Amino acid sequence: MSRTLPLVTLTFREIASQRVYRILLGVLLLVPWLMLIPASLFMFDIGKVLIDLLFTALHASLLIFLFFMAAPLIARDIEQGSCHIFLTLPMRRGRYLSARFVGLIVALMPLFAAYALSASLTLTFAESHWAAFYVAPHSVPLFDYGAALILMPYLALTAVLFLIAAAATGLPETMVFLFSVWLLCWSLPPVLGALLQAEVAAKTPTWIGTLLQTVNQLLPDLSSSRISLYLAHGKKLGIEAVAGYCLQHLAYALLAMMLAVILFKRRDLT
Amino acid sequence: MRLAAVAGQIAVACLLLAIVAWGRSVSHFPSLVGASETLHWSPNQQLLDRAWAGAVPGIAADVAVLNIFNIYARARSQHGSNAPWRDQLYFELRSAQAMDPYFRDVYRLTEGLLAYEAQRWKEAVDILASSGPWLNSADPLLAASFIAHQYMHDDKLAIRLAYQAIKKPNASQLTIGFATALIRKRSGCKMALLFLETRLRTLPEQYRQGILLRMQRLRQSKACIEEERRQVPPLPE
Repeated sequence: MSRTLPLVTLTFREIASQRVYRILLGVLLLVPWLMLIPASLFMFDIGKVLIDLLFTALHASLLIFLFFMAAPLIARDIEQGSCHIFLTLPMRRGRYLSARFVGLIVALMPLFAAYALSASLTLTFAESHWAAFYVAPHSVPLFDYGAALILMPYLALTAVLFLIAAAATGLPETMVFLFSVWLLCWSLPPVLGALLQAEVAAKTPTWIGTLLQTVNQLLPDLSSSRISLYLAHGKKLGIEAVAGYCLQHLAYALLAMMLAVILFKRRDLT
Repeated sequence: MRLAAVAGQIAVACLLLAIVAWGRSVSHFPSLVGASETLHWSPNQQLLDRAWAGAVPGIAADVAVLNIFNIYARARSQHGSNAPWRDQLYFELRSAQAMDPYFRDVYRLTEGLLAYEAQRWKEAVDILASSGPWLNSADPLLAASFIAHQYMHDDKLAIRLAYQAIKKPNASQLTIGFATALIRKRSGCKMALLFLETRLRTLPEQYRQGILLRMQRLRQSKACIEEERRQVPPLPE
């Protein structure tokens, strides 16, 4: 523990000291206010559109963090041998990976908090100006709740990044595999959801559904599409479903980290 | 010597900027609006839409609604009953509804544009009628019922939709009155005008033309004039 905490702090400092981190922080404070412009183009469900836009921007910022800050840090650490500095302390490889993981999540939190705060203020402003166009009153707690739930798949995806980086030869390989996993996780669950509808299933060959279902079984269900749709319309989410959703992603993150540690322990770092 | 080098760099930069400006001015590629004639909605279009929208299906519906505004703006500049915008409009409305069936704008635009502007009565009724499981509002179902009765002359369908509408928690007196009138087969011109007036109030000004035109035509129709004449009491002798 005495060696883990300094590495967590170091990881946070490494990320936070980058100029891009500060730029992203500034952008995240500004973006929610800019979203008022496209939202104002709509007729009735302005509140719903604004929340859609805010959720989309949240996904985009989390992806930017994952692909352009987290992935280079861990991939280069292993590729360039910077991890040796910590491993020769001595520090267990498993502890090293865990500390890096926690450090990245800690570094993500100020960005997330800044965005959630700015988005909440924007929603409060919009709600007071376009009250008649809000289907769901009190959109701020709904948005904050949704944003926290959207964060869950990204915790799992960060763990997948560690799993990939533990076995990959370098940054390009890590990026390619991470992007592929993200793309599949992004698009497959909603497509499978659509296939459950009778009229879609009737017009789609069975083998396509079977193939997609098989691929989906190998990947985590990282989609939060229904959550964002329900909350944007002020609909309640079942407690059991939310608990299942959160536990699923946390369990997947732990599983991926366990596998990453196993792979990293066996890896020849010389 | 150094001044000449700087001047040379500025000259090259100016030349490049001129090339960029020229390139921008001539690179106008023809719009793909015409290609929309080939767009036909099919349920498995959802697969593609959902794949790209991923975790944010709501935004895909929002984009489709923005496309509808563009299509309508372009359509107003084009004339002719066979303009391809009608197909594209239906396609975008279906897309938006498939991605976010709770989105009220989709149903208002279906009624305002697909029905009254494009006169695609059947398609409009299909979309409005399918709002049932998703919305707690009687509005789209009432509109579907009205269109089925008034323009498709399918009273059986209209009554079925009106029944669905009155079951909704926000069913108004108009909904109930309309349904009653339909069942009694007494819906006439006055009621149609009243209904259109109500719908008119819920639409922003720039999208009212279609309904206003319908109301004007209805007022000038023979049946409407006769109905009005019947309601005027004879002068006392």
